[in-house]
Amino acid sequence: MNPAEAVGDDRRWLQAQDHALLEVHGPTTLVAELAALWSRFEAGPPAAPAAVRVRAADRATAAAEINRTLVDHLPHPAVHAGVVALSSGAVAFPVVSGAGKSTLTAALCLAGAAYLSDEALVLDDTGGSPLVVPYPKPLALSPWSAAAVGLEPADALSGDLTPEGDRELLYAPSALGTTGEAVPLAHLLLLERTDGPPRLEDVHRREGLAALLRLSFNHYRDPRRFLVVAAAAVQGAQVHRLLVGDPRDAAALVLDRLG
Amino acid sequence: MPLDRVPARLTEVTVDDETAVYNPITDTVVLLNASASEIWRRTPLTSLEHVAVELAEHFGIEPREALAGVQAGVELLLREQLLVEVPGVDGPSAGA
Repeated sequence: MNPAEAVGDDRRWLQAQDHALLEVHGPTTLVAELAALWSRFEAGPPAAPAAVRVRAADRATAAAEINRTLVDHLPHPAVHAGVVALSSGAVAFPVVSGAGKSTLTAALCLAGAAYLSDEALVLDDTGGSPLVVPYPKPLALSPWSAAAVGLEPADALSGDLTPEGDRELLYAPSALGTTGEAVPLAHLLLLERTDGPPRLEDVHRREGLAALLRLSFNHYRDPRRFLVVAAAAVQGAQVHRLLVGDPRDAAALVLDRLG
Repeated sequence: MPLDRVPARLTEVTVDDETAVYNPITDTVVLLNASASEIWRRTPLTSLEHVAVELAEHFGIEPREALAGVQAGVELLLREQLLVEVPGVDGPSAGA
């Protein structure tokens, strides 16, 4: 799957072999980020969609649509989660949308972790033991979240209104520091809100496996494989409950305790 | 009647001392805690009392307490369609 030539400065066609097509509209930088993400997963079917065309009215929706399409066609088990890499390995926090996943991801990266994804924990088991592979889509934050972690709106790739009327800032992975490489899963964090200081508590691995199963993107394609891969990843990791108030305080605690 | 695993292509994995089983009949993953996992490992079940004695020893609890746990565990496994009754001479006692 190789990105083809840019057309003008706001459009790029991405072609997979001779059967997959993605048309992206947006500013060149955003398109380049999405093109790079698209190119990461160039495995054959079922990774390659038959045809995808994105003609969203706004860039936030376009980015979301591209992301949804990519996730649907990932060749590996994937879970809705924020993911960063520390020296100990990957740290993932599977959680539903709106629970602070991207904000904590940004806070961790700005504190020194390497960015892997604010969207998907992707587990590549082709080599035997599962590895967490990067899914470094542009990171999406509300203006409040960006301010909470110290990111400037001016540094965003775009800042369009979503169809719901919310402003969403998209940041390139490079704005967060470094992007990590494939590493084993070392820690799984189950997030909970708190008004107090952050806290990290060990919990049974069962809770981590349940979270991966509950928040899976694509288990339905091969439930048996998903279960085996998810269980292997959890068995090799430690599972914790992280109580999060201020995202920067929580990030500091995670880096101090798990880094 | 004895109880055995449902005749389907179950997929099971172990995480620590617990078990997760994918049942294609219900398209569900069932997470079994440590005691349910011990019951599951002992299938087919012909005597719940015998299983209770083994689990009492395994977990260091009273046999009566273990029997209540075995009965609850078997009910769970039946409800999740992981166990089925199979023809046999000796059925499991203690109400399962």
